[in-house]
Amino acid sequence: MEIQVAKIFGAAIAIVPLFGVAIAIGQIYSTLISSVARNPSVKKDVFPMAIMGFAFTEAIALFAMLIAFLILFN
Amino acid sequence: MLAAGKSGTILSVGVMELFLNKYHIIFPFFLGKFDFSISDFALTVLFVPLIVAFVMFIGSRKMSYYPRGLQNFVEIVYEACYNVFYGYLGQRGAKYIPFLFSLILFIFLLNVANLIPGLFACTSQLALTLSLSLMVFLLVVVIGFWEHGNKFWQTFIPPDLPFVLKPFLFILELFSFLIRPMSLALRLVINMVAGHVMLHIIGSFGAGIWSIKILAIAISSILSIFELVVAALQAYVFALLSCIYIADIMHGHED
Repeated sequence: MEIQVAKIFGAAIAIVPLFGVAIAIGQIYSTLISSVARNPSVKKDVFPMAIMGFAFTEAIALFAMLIAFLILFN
Repeated sequence: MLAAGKSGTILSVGVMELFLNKYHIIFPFFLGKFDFSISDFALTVLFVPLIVAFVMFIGSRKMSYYPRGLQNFVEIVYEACYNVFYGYLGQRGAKYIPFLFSLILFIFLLNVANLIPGLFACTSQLALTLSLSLMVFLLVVVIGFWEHGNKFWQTFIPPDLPFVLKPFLFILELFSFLIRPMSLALRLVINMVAGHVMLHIIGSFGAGIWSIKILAIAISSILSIFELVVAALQAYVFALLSCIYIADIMHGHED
């Protein structure tokens, strides 16, 4: 296998964590929606937590993207 | 403005050169061996916050009991941030809120300035964000020693823990404490770079037939609005995480 092809495959494999990240973000927002629907007065307290969780999870996806770039362009 | 001969990247390590912007030196200025040249990076970092500092200064110069005009705006912005941070820091940590407020404003404005064509995308450089996050890290360490003294190291170990687990958990907590500035800086940089790379790719669709061109323009204008949301969100996240780190080291495992 040529090295360029191997790099592309490596970058593709490095993106696999997006699977887990997608599930996690869906989980965060579904939980947020259901908790706010049950008790709308709690929205002010819960929303920053959801944003924090979203940011942490999104960071993992972006780290995966960084690794993919490192593999692809180095 | 960009007609300078010499250009380079800040922290150019391998891949960073490829998808990070290049700065251009506008006024070359050397002191002996040291390079103090003014680049467009430095100009943006200097002037964008200066404009805001001017607005905030004008708004809060003559504070009256019944706010009028600009003072309304300044008070709304400050109080919105104050309430969020106060919930985490409490009365004892309220003295750190101005620092966090200036941090959130600085990052938000540079993030927004990223989207204006012609201005340099400052927060997509690791040099700026890493220095900001190292500042926060140093502040957290100083507060930790100020509050706890020699017991600072005990804040890494949760109370009521079996003796066998303590060294392992100490190493784990110490590692996660030391990795914080890097993850703070990287989160901001990668979010900004990802947005710009996405806009660049969508923009390169414009070379096709006219229907695709219109589609590319529509998508990229929607994405620009989305980038505005991301800019606000990342500034919020950066400041809130710094706030949580400070609150964590101040209150420890009390509550």
